[in-house]
Amino acid sequence: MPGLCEDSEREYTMKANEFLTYIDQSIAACAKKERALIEENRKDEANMERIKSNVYGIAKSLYQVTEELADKHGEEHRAMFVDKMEAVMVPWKKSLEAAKQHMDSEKECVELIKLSVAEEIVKVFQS
Amino acid sequence: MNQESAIKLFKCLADKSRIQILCSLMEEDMYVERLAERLNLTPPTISFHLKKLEDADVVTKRKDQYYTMYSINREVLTRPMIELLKEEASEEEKIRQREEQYRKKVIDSFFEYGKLKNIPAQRKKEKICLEEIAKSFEPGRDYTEKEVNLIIADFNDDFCTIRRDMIGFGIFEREQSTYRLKNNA
Repeated sequence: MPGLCEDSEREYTMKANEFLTYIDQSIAACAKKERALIEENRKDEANMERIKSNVYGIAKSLYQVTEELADKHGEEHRAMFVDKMEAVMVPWKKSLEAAKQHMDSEKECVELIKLSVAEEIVKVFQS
Repeated sequence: MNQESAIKLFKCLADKSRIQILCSLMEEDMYVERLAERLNLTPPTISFHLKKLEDADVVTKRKDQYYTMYSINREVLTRPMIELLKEEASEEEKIRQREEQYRKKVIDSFFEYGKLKNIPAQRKKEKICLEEIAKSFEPGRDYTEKEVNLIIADFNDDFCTIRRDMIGFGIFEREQSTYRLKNNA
């Protein structure tokens, strides 16, 4: 039944393309917002868009690296990508806790942004 | 207010969101969530801006039951701009300010929440960091090696290197096994 294998391969490729398109569109949207915020003299908020864009960039790299590392496409790659994303979030969560403890609202805001984007990416990936 | 503080103030004000926050606070004192709703920004973003405004001394905060209320500092905001521009520091003061800025930059890079992240490789920067740690010791008091280690360990686990280098930089003097801050440290 070569058709079954081909079907799942095709479905995997379709989902992968969809996910990478979402990442690329998100990066483009952040860049657009960043430019608009700079125009409006909101440089700090523009930097926050840059931070979001960097997180999408990290996710894209992790996706591509895990795709090469996974022996076979599909479930193994999916699990490996989610694991890597969660590993990336660990120091951000620690940093957020430290920022909260020391009432460092600037750092808290940055860590919250990074975590919320990373969580959104994982959610979209798993949907 | 010296020129450095004036620059800090102007830099802080050169942001549309922060100006909008100040405009809202001119109407009445507000808490983070209220400002967030009013300006259509997230509460963490508002807190981020308020911290910058607080650091520039334009905004003050106070606890009011469950909320932290923010108010504008009218004293700073009502000062004529010409006064800010006039206040030129002396050459000596400028040098002192530059040194102070450099020290602050080094301390901000190597310390995080009161911990020394790593010992700087550059001697000049290491000395600044060790002098910062030395502020935790009382001048004129004798410390045992164990006491010194315990205090330094609050900043960094490598207390042996730091303790030895503090002697090397002349921050501490050691007599037998007693440590004491040097008078000029």
